[in-house]
Formats: sequence, structure tokens, C-alpha cells
Amino acid sequence: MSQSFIARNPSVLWFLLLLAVFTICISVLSEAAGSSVVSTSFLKTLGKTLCLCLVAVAMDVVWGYCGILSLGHFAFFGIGGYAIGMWLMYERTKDIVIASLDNNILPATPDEITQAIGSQIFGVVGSADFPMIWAFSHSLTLQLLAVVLVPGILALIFGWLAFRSRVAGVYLSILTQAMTLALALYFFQNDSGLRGNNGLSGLQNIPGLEDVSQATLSLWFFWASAVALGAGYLMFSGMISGKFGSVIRAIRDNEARVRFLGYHVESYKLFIFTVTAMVAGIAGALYYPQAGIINPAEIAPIASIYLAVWVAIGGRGRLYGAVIGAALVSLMSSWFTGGSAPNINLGFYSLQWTDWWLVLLGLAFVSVTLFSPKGIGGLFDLWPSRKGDGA
Amino acid sequence: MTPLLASIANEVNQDLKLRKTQLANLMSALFAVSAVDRITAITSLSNASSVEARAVLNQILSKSSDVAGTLPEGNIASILNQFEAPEVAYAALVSANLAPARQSKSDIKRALEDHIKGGRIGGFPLGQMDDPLKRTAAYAALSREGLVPVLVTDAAMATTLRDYIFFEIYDEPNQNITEAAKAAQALVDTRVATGQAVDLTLDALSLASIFFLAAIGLAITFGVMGVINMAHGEFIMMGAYTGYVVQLIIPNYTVAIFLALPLAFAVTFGAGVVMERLVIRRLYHRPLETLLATFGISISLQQLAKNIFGTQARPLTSPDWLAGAWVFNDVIQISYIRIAIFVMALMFLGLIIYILKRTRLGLEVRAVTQNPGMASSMGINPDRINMLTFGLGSGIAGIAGVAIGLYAKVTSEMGSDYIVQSFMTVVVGGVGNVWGTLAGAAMIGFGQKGIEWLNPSNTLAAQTYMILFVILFIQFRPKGIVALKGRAAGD
Repeated sequence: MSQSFIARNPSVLWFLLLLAVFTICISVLSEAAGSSVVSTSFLKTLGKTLCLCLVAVAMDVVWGYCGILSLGHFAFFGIGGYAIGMWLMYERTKDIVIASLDNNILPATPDEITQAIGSQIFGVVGSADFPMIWAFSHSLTLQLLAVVLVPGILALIFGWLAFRSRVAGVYLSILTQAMTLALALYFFQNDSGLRGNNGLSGLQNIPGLEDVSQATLSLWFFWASAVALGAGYLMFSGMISGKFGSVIRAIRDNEARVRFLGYHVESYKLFIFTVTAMVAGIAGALYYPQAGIINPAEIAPIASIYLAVWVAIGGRGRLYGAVIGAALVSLMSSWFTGGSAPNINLGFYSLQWTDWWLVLLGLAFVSVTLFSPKGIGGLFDLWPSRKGDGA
Repeated sequence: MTPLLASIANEVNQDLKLRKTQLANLMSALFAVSAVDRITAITSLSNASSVEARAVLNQILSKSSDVAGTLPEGNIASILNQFEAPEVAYAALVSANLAPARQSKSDIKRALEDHIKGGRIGGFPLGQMDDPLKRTAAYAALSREGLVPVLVTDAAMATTLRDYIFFEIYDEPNQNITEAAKAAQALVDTRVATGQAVDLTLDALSLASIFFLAAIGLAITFGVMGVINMAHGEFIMMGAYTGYVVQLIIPNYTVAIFLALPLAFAVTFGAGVVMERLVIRRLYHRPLETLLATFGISISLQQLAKNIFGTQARPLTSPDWLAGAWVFNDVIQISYIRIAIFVMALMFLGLIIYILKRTRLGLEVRAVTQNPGMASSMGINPDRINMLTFGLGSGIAGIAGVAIGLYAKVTSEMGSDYIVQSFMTVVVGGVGNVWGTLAGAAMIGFGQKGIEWLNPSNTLAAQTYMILFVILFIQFRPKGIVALKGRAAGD
């Protein structure tokens, strides 16, 4: 089975090979391996970029293959980050609190410890009690489950409601955007129990691994991100090839006809929507420990729009296109807005890239939509097709 | 009080006389010598709703809670059930010196820390003190030795509470007066509640007008033409910045506002026409692509505004005659700017209905939206009509921007604050129908204020729940409140 699948999709093999080579090269050049070519902060950026590629691949499956322009997948990404962040923050604060309580004359009771952790975490929003949603934050297993299940269940409920009543096309996009806005507003509230606009911080410190240096930790996370991207890519390319994939693409091209052929379109769409949301959650759970901080602004509707921008620029309807788009645009964004790009002096006006990058990106996006719907990935079609190599 | 009463008869200034009469009434409700006079004055207060009158009634009805072994003589307001909030009731006993204080957890901890003897407390090793039960046991051991006061347990507290009666007593000894004041207060409260409901309705109405203003341009471009313009919010922003620039140049705010409105229309009309010609025209019948391209424009325009005007909020000051508030009474008041926005929303509704239904342009617009091929064979130029319609919708967004800028601050992100809600308004109301947009704005405005009333401290929560409600609402009425039927519905 896998033999024929790879044979039918040589691009998958190429992609995995490139990813492996890239990972090995970066690992060898990283600080943890004694080299100084790739600094720890750049390694983190690369690791984060791999996570963004993974969520872009998920977005490509739901949009490029199934035709659902979801403007909510970055919210699922954020939820995954919050889910893992809750455990990271709880465990770390617990360690700190226990260490500080050790100086007390009397050993602390469990109540006192919980109280102290609570006031440490929720002091910024003027509270000391653990909200209901933190009930599982002491358990890594349960929070890891939440990384997958919370976005999954949310997508399942939302998708079931939306697809059942045949909301499609732009209406669905607007509805998903509204869902994202509602989520972001909810996370912004102080009494939702997620520290309001302060978000969760200090996530780069992994409890139990205090002795491991950040250089090594970021290398581990880089590997994890690479493995997750590879696995996700393999899973999705398996999903979209074969009969199931044909049905998915048929739904994108003509939903009514697929329905008349007797397929239960809603179930297919719901399945894709939910699975991609789960993968987005996993990508988020890998991203935020590398970023170190998460706050509700990360899941604002604009973030999901950028996700769509990446996929569109990279070329939707092909998984490697999503990866190219996400990697290229997010790396360029951080390069241009990070202030390291040289400013252009026009004589009468000095062009600051930090100011003008977004203008340029917006216009680039418009031109891609207008003139090159296939995006950068479309360039690969110009490659002379050899025998048995057509995808 | 006597000089005040004496001066009323001779007062020539009518306003002053009225005020003096009010004051005399308030004072006699509190300080008149005979109880009958006070009751008359109090009863007359039941027609008032001013803050002063309410304060006087509250003062008469002021009461204090107390505790005693038996119910004393006096004007008792109510008897409290001490077991509803036993901790509070017990604290009252403690402060009345009728019971020993309870030891809090930190009290116990401190007491234990003070009595460590050779690594043990009351016979218990220090290491066991992380168990709350062991801590209690150690404390009990200490108290048996007489080193610390006896621990007041929950059971002991309940027994003590049972021996006392908790009550509230009016400061005013005359029961007839408090009864009259209570009756008057009930009437006043009802009136104040009615007033608050009216006030809330006015608030909701003005919020609905803002949503309507923000969405009315979309009702044309999205509702009538079917073009998804995600840069609509940025047109609102452009209009607001136009107003700001005009105010920079012209210092007279009144002139500036009246100049800014047509100018904002012109600027955004132009921007709309350019955008239609360059981008949207190429993407008709590809709604998802239109959505994406206009996103790109929205990102660019937002950043452009940031580059030009900076990130801080710019003020758009309203002229003095719009600055105050129309005060109906102490409860109901509404600022003039909100009234102006409401009037403006009504004017736009009328204007757009008029243009669409009563003018040549409107006829052609409707013809082109229903069937462009047929329209063009009748001699209508669909390209020109589409361009003009899109310009009109964008221009109205610009004017709405000036209005919204007066009410809120002008920032480069103000457009994105309204875009989702505007689309919601149009979708909920029913696409393709201006009345629908009105209904949608009313529903979202009233709904949001209603939720805010249930949980006043939290505007964000109100927005969150309103969006959830709208998502659910669309499940049950996918075509919106005012759904088009028959041929007009098209597809």
C-alpha cells in the first residue's frame, strides 16, 4: 500500500527527504552541537516556522482541497498553545512556589500550595482562585489530550452546525471569522480565567528539564516540530490521494453534484474540518513553548487571515505550496519587521521596511489573487514533466 | 427651615421658587416636628425620581443591624436568619463582644509557629504539619495545655448562633413614618426602574444606529451587488481620517464637520471606484477570490494609515452644540452626539431607499444585479452601474466613518473593529435588503445591550455572547430576518 502510495506521489518522498536533510543540517550547525552558525534564537525561529508550516498544510487541506475557506484555524492553533501553556505555567509556578514555601517554619498544606500557585498565576487579573478550566492543568497527559480534543470538539460542534444548515462559501468564511472573534474576545476577558490580555508566559521553561540548556531544548523542539510536520504531511497526503481525496476535491469543485451522486457531503466536510483543527492544535502546542508567550492577540481574526495569505501565496491545492508559502512569508515577515532589513533611501523619503512590509504584503497578496491563483507552487508546473512523474 | 418657608411666598423668580418648594419639601420630610407633616411630605416624594429625593428616603429608612439575646423594643425592620451567612453573623457576635473570635487558618499557623518545642508542637512532629487535620489536632493539644485559646469549631459556632437573635432596626423610631417612606420608596423604585429601562432602550437604539451606519454601505456593496468587500472597514477609517484632516485645516468645528461629510464621501467614493475598476471587476462571480483580494487591500490600507497618521488615536472633536447631553431626568439622559448618529442613520436609510427605489440609478442598479445580460440589452451599461454602485456604498462608509469617529476615537484599526459586526448585521438582517440591515442592526444592538444589562461589568462578554447568538441564529434562519422571496432571491 505505502509502496504504491509513494510511487504515485513522488513529491511526498521529495518533501520528506528535503525536510530530513534540512533538519540534519540545522542540527549539526546549531549551538547545541557546538557550532555557532545557527544561533539559539534563530533555531527557535526555524522551529516555529516548521509549526506554522504544519498549520498551513492543515489550512491547505481544508481550503485548497475541500474548498472551505476557514478563517478560524489559527484560533485552533492558539487553543492548542493555551492548552499546553496551562500545564507549563502551572507546573513551573508550582516548582517556584514549593521552593519558596520551603523557607517557612511549618511545612505547607496542600491548600496553602494551591492558594499560593493561584495567587502567583492569577494575581495579574486580581484573583487567586483556580477557574474551572484549569482543573486539569496539573496533569500533562490530560492537557496534551486537551491540545487535540478542545480544538477538535469545538470544530466538530461549529462545523456540524454550519454544514448541517448548508452554510457555504463566503458565508461560512464570515461565520468562522465571527467564531474567531468571539474566541479572541473571550480570551481577552479577565474573568475567563486565562489571564486576560496578559496571556500565559514563561512557556519556554519546561518543568522537570531545568538542567537542560535552552540551546538543547530548542533543538529538541525543532526536532519535534520537524517530525510533526513530516507526519502531518504524510498523513494529509495519504488522506487526499485515493478515493477519499477525490471526493474531497469533487466537493470543492461541485458540491451539489457530489451530493446527487449519493455522497454525504456534510460528513466529509465535517471530518476534514475537525481533523485539520486538531492538527492546528498540535502545531500550536509545539509553537508556543518555543515562542515562550501566548496572548489573545495571537488568535485575533487577522492571524487566521494571514494563514490564508500564506497558503494563497504558496499555492493552494498542493501541500508543498502551503509549506513554501508559510515558510517564505513568515520568515520574510520576521526579517522585514525585525528591523534587520536595510532601509531604502529614496532621497526625499527613507523607506522603512518595518513600516512598509505589510503594505507590500497586502499588495502582493492582491496581485497573487488576481494574476497567479496557483501561487508560488504553480512554478513547479513549469518543470518539464517526466514519465510517471505527473501529480 | 422657618426662613426658607417664609421666603417662598415672596419669591418672584419662578425657577428659584420651584427649587425652594422642593427643598422645603425634602427638609420637612426629614425634620418637620409633627409626624403628620412628615408623612405628608414623604408621601409627596413618591412622585419624584431625583437623586435628592431618593437620598432623603434612604436617610429616613436608614437602619442598622444588631444582635441580642431577646428582641428589644423599637421600630424593627426585619429579623435576619443567622444561618444564611453564619460566618458574617458570627463576626457580628464577635464584634459585639458576645463570643470569642474564630481563629483563621493563618492565626492557627502563627499560633503553632509560636509554640514549637524541640521540633514538636503539642506532641506532634513538625514534619507532619503539612496535613491540615494534624494541624488542628496540634492546636487542640496546645489549647488543652492552655497555651492558646480554645478552637471555635463549626459546631461550636452554630450552637452559639442559636442563642441569639439577629435583626435590623430603623434609626427612625416612628413606625408610621418608616411605613410611609417604604411605600414612597417602592413607588420611586418602580419609576426609576422604568426610567432605566427607557435609558437602556435609548442606549441600545444608539448602538443599533452605529451598527447600522457601519453596515449600510455593505448593505449596498455586499447586500445588493453581492461583492464581499473586506476593506469596507478601511473605508470607514478613511472617512474618519478625512474628518480629522479637515479639522486640522479648519479650526471651526462646525464648519469642519459639514465640510468633512461631503469630502469623506468624495474620498471614499473615489477609492471605491478605483478599487472596483482595478480589482473587483476582474473577480466578479468568484466571491472567495474577491474576499481574499479585498483582505489584501485591507491589510495594505491599514498599514498605510499607520505609516501616515501614526499608531496613536487621533481625536475627531464634535462641535460644541453636539457636546452635551439631553437630560430628561436624573435617570434618563442621552448625549446629543448619539441623537445625531441616530438621526443620521435614519437619514441614510431614507436616502438609500429613495435612491434604490425611486431614481433611475436605483432602477438600473436593481436591473443589473438581477440580470446583467438582460439589463445591458436594454441599454444599461453594467460596468458603469457596478462602478457607481460600489462607489456609492464606499462613499456612505466614508460618511459613516466621520460619524463613528465623532463617537469613538480615530485609529488605523477602527475599521477592523467594525468589519465582522457589519457583515453580521447584513447577514443576520438578510442579504439584498436595506430593511433587513435595519432589522439586523436593531437585533444586534438591542441584543448586545440586553446582555450587557444582565452582566453590566463586562462589555467584552456581551460581544462574545452576541456573536455566539448570531452564529446560532444563522443556523435557524440562514437567509436572515428579512429573507427575499421569489425571483428577487435569485441565487
